[in-house]
Amino acid sequence: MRIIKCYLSNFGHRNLMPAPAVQAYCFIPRINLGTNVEFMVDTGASATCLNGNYAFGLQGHMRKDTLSPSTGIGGQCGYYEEDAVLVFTDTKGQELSFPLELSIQRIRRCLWRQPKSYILQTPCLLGRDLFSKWELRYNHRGKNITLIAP
Amino acid sequence: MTPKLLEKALKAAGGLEEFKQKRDQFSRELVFINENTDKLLEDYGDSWVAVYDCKIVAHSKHYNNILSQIQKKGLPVEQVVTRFLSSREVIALYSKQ
Repeated sequence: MRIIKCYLSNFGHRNLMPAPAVQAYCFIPRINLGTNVEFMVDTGASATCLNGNYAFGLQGHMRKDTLSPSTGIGGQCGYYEEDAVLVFTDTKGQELSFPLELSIQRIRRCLWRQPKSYILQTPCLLGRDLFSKWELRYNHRGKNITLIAP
Repeated sequence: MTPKLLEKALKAAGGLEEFKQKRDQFSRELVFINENTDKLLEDYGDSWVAVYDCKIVAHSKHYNNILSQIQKKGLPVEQVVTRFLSSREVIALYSKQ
């Protein structure tokens, strides 16, 4: 059993109820690109996804044939799919990987206009594709949030 | 399959030591933003900020400006943490289904 410590983050919003968050290195082998990402731990999300400014930077690498619509509380949005791996660090300092099909938000690029700020602010979500295989323990008041990998 | 992918991911990050260094730096930047949100909002409210080595290295109302400022300063874009600081009252509902 391996434990990954999560924490509470305000994701840059002063007036937002802090949300559970975890840090992971997200790597997409096809394009050989990886970066550190702060994910919001979101049991409402069926899939793990890169959103906002993280997704914006990847738009040029995405393949149209992987695009599919996705429905959320805010409406419908397109997401690209990529095989990826998330690398976490457990409480003993050891790396731990989780391969997954990563969803990447489609953000239309326009030469004469930047995307709306609220689109780029959308946090990346860690979803149930991971929680269905790992265990999530969530004690908000005690600030004790952990992911447990078998 | 997983150990191979892990190996490839670590290689892309520049090797295990580099991976750890970048990870720790990323953690420090996040802690800096989280712990100083109120102060940062006073100075850079409702703007994008870029944090590197626990310092604000760029700020702007527009995300693209942040990226050009980072590039002009010759900082490694992938290691600079960018975040929008919002003072607005928000209820955030996110889900991908």
